[in-house]
Amino acid sequence: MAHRHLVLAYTITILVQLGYAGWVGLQARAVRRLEREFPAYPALPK
Amino acid sequence: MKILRWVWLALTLGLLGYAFHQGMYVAPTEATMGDIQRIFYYHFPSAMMTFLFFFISFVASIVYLASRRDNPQRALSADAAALAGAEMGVIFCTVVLIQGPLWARPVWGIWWTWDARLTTTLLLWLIYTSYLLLRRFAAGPQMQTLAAVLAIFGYLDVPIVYFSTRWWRTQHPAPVIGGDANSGLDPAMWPAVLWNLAAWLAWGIMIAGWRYSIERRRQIAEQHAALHALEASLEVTL
Repeated sequence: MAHRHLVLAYTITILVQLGYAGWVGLQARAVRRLEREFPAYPALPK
Repeated sequence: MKILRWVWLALTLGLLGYAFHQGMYVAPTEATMGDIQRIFYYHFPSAMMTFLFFFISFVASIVYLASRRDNPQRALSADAAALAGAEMGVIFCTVVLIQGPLWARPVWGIWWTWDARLTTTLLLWLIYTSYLLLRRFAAGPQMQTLAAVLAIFGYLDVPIVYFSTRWWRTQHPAPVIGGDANSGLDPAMWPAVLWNLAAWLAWGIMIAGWRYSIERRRQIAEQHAALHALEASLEVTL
């Protein structure tokens, strides 16, 4: 049982961390879409 | 800047791999618990990262409250840091709360007990999960202020979690690192602890830094969206 729990604990740790990193990646994609939809106003020429 | 990110990613993955090797194969087997004690090499760093990232959220929330009237740009930046810190902290706290029972079952014979350390850690997770839910579902200008206040009050639980094994009798072991005279780690175990601390710190900084930059870009894009909406309403009026 102990070895199974050790492997399971490490696997879940990696999956949770990678899952969060993947979710952050989705947020990045959503922000890129928002930036394309609402581009910054061009600055006035100096 | 982009090359630095790739170098950081490569270093982090290298560190994680090396730390895993140290924890699983190099560190000696603990005398009473056997191999299951190796969970310690990522349970302890995850708990330390929980405290660190909630601390970042705590400090950033104070900066937000202090500067929200005088310096809105700094306040928005602090708000993004508070969010990134809280999310990363919740992720590490989740991992701690999963690893703990998986370690407890073969060693204590139970998955969970309502002792002070476990209960206050669960409470900490619930407080910061509430913080994230508040940010996700509450709307309006007061949301960030309320969230900052919650993050500051929520952080008061961190010292209680840390000192719980000193203040009360708990099923969770007394501190091994920084404990009394009879506590301590075998010197041969220290490299695995330190490598895992460094690896998870590098991972946490990388992901939280990425999350912070995305939140900042989102704030700026929303300001642009508001300007576009204002322009459209003016065109309709004229």
